[in-house]
Parts: sequence; structure tokens; C-alpha cells
Amino acid sequence: MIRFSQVSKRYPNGHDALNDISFFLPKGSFTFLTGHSGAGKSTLLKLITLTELASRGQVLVSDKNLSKLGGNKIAAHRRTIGSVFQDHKLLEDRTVEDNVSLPLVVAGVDHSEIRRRVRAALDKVGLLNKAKRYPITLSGGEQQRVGIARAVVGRPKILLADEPTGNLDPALADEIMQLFLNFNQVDITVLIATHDYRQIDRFDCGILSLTNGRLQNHEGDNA
Amino acid sequence: MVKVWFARHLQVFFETLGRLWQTPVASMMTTLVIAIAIALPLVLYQIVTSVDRLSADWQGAPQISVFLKTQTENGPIDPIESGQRLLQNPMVEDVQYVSPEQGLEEFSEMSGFQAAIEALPENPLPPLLIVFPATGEDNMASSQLADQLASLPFVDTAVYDQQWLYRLTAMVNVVKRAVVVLAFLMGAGILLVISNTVRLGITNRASEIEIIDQVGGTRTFIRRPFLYIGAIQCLLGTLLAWLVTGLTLYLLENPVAELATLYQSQFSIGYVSVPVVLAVTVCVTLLGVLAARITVDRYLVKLRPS
Repeated sequence: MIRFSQVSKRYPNGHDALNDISFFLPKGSFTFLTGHSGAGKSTLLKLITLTELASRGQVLVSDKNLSKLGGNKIAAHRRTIGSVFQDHKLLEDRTVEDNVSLPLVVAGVDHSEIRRRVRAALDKVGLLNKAKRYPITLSGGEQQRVGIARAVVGRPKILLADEPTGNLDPALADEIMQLFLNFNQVDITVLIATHDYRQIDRFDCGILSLTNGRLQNHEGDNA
Repeated sequence: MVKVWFARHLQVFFETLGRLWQTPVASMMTTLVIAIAIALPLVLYQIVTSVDRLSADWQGAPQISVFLKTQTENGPIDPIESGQRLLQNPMVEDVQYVSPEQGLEEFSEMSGFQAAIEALPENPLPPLLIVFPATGEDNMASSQLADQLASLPFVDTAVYDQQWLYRLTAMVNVVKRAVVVLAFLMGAGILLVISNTVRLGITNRASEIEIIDQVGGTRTFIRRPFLYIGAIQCLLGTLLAWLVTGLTLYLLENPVAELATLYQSQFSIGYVSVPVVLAVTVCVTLLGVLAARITVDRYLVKLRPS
């Protein structure tokens, strides 16, 4: 599903964020991406969403070489990926419902279909009763669940999360992680960047460990 | 898909209206600036085209009025025979004789001074020959011919009537050019105003743009609300401009009519014609869209993965 071949990323300021990274994540896998702050976790996720381009090497997602995509194909590629952010990235001036519907609106989905799918997504994260609320009136855990609902509403093949439990207490973090597991069971490939080792220890799954932009060990399938 | 597309456009249209409504003072100022930028050259344009139309009506074939002496040392002059002599000049195309009686009649009809004219003891008008030169549009040649005719012994004076009209036309042309230059400057002004408004909109919605970009919104999708800002602001500006222009021309109507009466003319500036109204409305709205598009695209370059 996701294949990195000797990928390096150097930012224009000369900082080497990733160095010679190779790995393969099969369809339906559940993987943690760990490492200290600044190890390159976010950069790796950004390469998958095509927010950044690799300086060297190839990134293949669903057999597409991302460096070959341009224009509207980038947008189309991002629609196959659901992203969850540590700071949620919700629009404060829109209701929970409107926030979750955004990926469907940009995809040009029919209005009644949007309603139906937004309700289904909110139901899965247990926030159906708060659809009309504004994000600011929700707790941190609830806001993160809104972010997750938005990430899955477009039925992505891949779910990426950048420190999704970073700001949450352990009980809430467990809840959120359980949500990701649920989505993984319906064959979505999940990659979660975290330094919450308590969560990593709870699950028996693949781990990509980054140190200073280099991959340490890889307990998933090797490329 | 077409239905969704249409619904989306409608939604963005009303959303944009709502946003403009949320900052009424800023929106009003922008609209006003655009309206003034349109109204100013437009009022000038209307005045100039009216004057231009007037002079075109007057233009006709150039003619020289040759006023004859009634008497020379050699005795009385026969105007008909003098006319025949003028016709022998190759520069003269045609000659028309206006007798003093005809002249007086025409003058009293046109001037409205019948009573005063009837009180005159005798007809003060000299016999007149209207000469149509073969020089066509050549202003200099016609002028020279008039001088040449004036030096003939039986001619009192020869006046080239069109001289002042050419001067007027030349002046109108200067103002016309000024209107064109002004229109371009004002167009550039509108471009800058819209560009600034859109840039402000982008800054206010930077996080929204970032999120839309992340969840797979296309360039077209991100651009759309800003294009609507450009279009709606310009459309509102144009509508206000019609109001300003109409009011200005209305205020000019009476003074111009008074002035025209003093010249025995029916001249009026009138109002801007419907095709011009439509053309300016469409062009300015498209200008707004163009300005918005250039501004958004400059920003969108930053979103491209690098």
C-alpha cells in the first residue's frame, strides 16, 4: 500500500529531515511510527500526503509514484487518505457537522449523501448528538474525535495520524486508539505517529522507529 | 454531477455575500471606490460622445460663405454672374446663391427675432454665394481657397465656416483620448483594489485554505470563493456606478439645457446607452474575477508540494 524506497528529504534550509528511508506497509496493516521530537515523523507523513516532495528516492502509494502527480491529481490523491492532526485542525466558525463534511464537499458529493455519511461517521466516533455544536464547546478528546470522523468520512484507504493522543489523558488516549483499531478492522491501512510508548506496548503491531531521520528497526514486512 | 456543481456555486455565492455583509464598512468602501473609478470616466465619456455627435451632425460638406459687394466702381454687381465666374475656378465644386431676401427670411425663422427684423427700415443683408470647395476634407486647402476668394474685387468677405468646427473636433479628440487613458488607469485601480481585498480574505482564511488543501480540495475549489468576492464586489461597484453616473448626468441636464437654449440648440447630454451599460458591467465584473484569480494563484503557488 505504502512503499518508501531510499527516500531522503532535505528542506531548503539545509536540514536533513529523512535519510535513506525504505519500508513497505501492506494493505490493511496497523503501524506505529515512533521517534523523538524532530526525528522526522511529521515529515514522513507529509511525504505520504504529498504536502512535501521527497528530495531523493521514491514514495509509492497504491502503486502510484507520488513524484509524478501534479495539479488536480494531488487533490485526488489526498482524498484517498484520511489525516488526523495533533491540534485537530478544525474550523472554529463551523459546526461539527460542517467540519466533518468538508472532505465530501470538496469531492463534490451530493448533498443528501453527505448528510447520510456525516451522520454515520459521527455515530462511529460517538458524537452524533453533538453534530450542531461548535468545536470550541467540545472537550479536547471530543475535538480529536471530530478530527477522526472527518478523516474517515471520505472512506479513505489510508488513515494517517500525527500524535493523535498527544494532548489527551490516558483513558481518552485509549478510547481514541480503539477507534483507530476499529477502522483498521475494515481494511484501512493505519499509520500513527506517536511517542506515547504506553500505547505502542498495548498493541502487537508493526513499528517504524526514526532516529535523526534514519529508520532504526522495522517489524513489518520488509521491502 | 452538474446539479452538485450548480448547488456548490450557488452556495459559494451566498456564502460570499454573507461574508461581505459581515464586514459592511470594508465592503462598502471597496464598492464605493470601484463605483467612483467607473463613474468618473463614464460621465466624461457620455459628455464627450454627445458633443462629438453634435459636431458630426454639423459637419456635412465644408462650405465657404462668400458675401458680395453690391456696388463696385464699375457699377452694380450681378450675383448670378459672379457665381458663374466663381464656378470657373477648378477648386470650386458648386455655388449656391442666397439672395438678401432669402437670407433675411431664414434668419428670422431661426433666430426668433421676427419683430425686430420687421422693424428694420431696409434689408441689411448682403447677397451671399455659398461655395462648396472641391478640396474635400482638406482643411488647409479650403482655408486657402477662402482667402483667395476674399481677394476678388466683387467679394466683400469670404468666411470658411468649418474652421471652428475642426477646432471643436480636435478638442473633443483630446478629451476622448483622456477618457481612454483615465479608463485604463481606473481599471488598474480596480485591479489593485480587488487584489487587496482578496489578499485580505486569503489572510483571514489561511487556516481554512490549509485544511481544504489537506482534505483534497482542488485549486478550483479553493479559488472559487475568492473569484466570487472579485465578481460580486465589482458587480456591486458597477451597479452603484450607474446610480452615481445617472445622478451626475441628471444634475447636468438642466444647466446644459439652459446653455443649449442660448445657442438655439436642442443639445442634451442624455444618458449612457443600454449596450454600453451592459458592456461595462460585464467587463468590470470579469476584471474583478481576473484580479482575484491572479491574486489567489500567486498564493496557491505556496501550497504546491516542494
